[in-house]
Amino acid sequence: MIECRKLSRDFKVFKKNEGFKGTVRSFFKRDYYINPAVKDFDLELGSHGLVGLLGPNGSGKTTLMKMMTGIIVPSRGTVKVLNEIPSHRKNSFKKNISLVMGQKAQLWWDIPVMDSFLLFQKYYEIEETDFRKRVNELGERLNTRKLFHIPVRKLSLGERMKMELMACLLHEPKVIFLDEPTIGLDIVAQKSVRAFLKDYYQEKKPLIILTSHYMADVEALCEKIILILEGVKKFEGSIDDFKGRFRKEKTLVFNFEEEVKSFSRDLEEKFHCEWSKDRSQLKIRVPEKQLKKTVIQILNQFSVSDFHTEKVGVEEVMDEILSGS
Amino acid sequence: MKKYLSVYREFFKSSLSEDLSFRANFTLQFLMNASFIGVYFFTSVFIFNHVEQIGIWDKDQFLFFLCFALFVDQIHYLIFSFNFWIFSDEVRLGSFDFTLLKPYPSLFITFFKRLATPGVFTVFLAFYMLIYFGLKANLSAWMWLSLPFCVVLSLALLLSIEVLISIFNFFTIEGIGINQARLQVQQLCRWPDFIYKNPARLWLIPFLAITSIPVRYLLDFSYWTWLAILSAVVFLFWFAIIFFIWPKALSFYESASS
Repeated sequence: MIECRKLSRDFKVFKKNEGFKGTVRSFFKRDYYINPAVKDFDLELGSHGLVGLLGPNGSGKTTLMKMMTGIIVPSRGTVKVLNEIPSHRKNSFKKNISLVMGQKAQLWWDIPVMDSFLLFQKYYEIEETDFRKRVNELGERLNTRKLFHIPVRKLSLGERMKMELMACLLHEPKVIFLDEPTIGLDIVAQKSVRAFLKDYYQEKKPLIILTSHYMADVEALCEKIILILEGVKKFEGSIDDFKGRFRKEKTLVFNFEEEVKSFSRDLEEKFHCEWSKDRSQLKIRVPEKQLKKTVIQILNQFSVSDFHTEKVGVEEVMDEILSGS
Repeated sequence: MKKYLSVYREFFKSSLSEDLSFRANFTLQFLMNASFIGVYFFTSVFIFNHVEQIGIWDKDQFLFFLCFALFVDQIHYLIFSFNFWIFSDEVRLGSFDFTLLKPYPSLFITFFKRLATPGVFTVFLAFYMLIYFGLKANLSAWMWLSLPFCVVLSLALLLSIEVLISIFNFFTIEGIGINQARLQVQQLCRWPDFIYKNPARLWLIPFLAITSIPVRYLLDFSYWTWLAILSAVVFLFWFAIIFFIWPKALSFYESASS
């Protein structure tokens, strides 16, 4: 369904020195540099699945999506989506894909949402009965039915994003690209969008590619993760594999029966230890290979009431990767 | 064709819905447009109060030219003008992405999607003036039949030039200068070619041809060869735009960062 081979995209970026002199000089002589936004990206995805595209700002996620949707043309390499080359921009291809961008709106700003939906109905040649059924169903699930006749500019950010999602799903696309669909939303709206996407995926089984800075989105929705750093694919696999590969340490949490006044100096020097105020709880980060040995050592030396390994979130792993630790 | 018309009907309804949401703005746009027609028309009437003829045309012929130019201008305002401004913004801000995703030719969506509906009334006003001065200029029956073709030809040439200019938005990103250039083209084609001296006229031929050649033909059949050449040029322009220039230009579109 999606196939990328050595996909690359460069951007020519204009550089200007600060100040008046820099401004005048740049008017007559431009300095450019080539920014390789995506480099030799290989990917193969099937006809359905929920895939998370992770990476920091400027890592090339959106550029990748834009090449997959045919918005921009690759500099090198090939990309095929639904057996079509996206940059050929065939109508048959465009009828089967959709893109939602959390930072850009495609609904008409000053008219009621329903008017924009009617326009989408014509674009995608949706039968009247199907259109009404889908609008009502999606409106019911996203709890937006009462907002259909309100101009977009009067809607809150969360409401607007739900409407953007509705607009992109009206024609039931086979491949859906969601670029930060929950950006700027409050926790409640984020959860509601997440729950909706999960349900929608379960029911229609499209291929959904999602980028998000909220790792909760990724953890709740994605079956597979692709990590992209500086335009290069660094990882592709399940969330568990992701955590395992990048997080070589585990956090052990020990609760002691009483305050621990003196702890093993050897362990404190070797590993990162974090004590509770009353020194009755310890969080210790231990490399996986030394996990068993360390647990036995602590259990033997101290009176432990209970212990467990702490569940590591994707966010923590991403933090570590991005901070280079 | 039917599906394009149904999309276009929706464009009209959405534009009307948007325009009518702002009543004061709608009224102002109508009034400003009507005043533009008034000022442009009465300036020429004032000149003819002092002279018998301008160039090769007498008062009725000149005012017929003027009304032809106004009618083309008003149709252009109603159907296309907003789209050129929106296009510049969309390319700069990256929302042109969504145009490229729609399952219709991007040229169609880009330049047809937003109508300036306050222009509906002034189109009728300009149409009435065109018929009135056509009668006064004694157009023959054949010329009345040719009139719709001439209007379409004139509009098609104006649009092709404007689209060619607007394509530079993909390279310049900021579109204010480009839109000013477009407005100058519109300004040039509102006056007959013979008011310019020969050397200037030579350089301005494509712009002056927009209204001058169709009207010269409508007033004097002997200009039919000019009209035929113009028709061929317009056809070639659009052929090149649709099949070569626009698709090539799209490959330079870089979108904007999110």
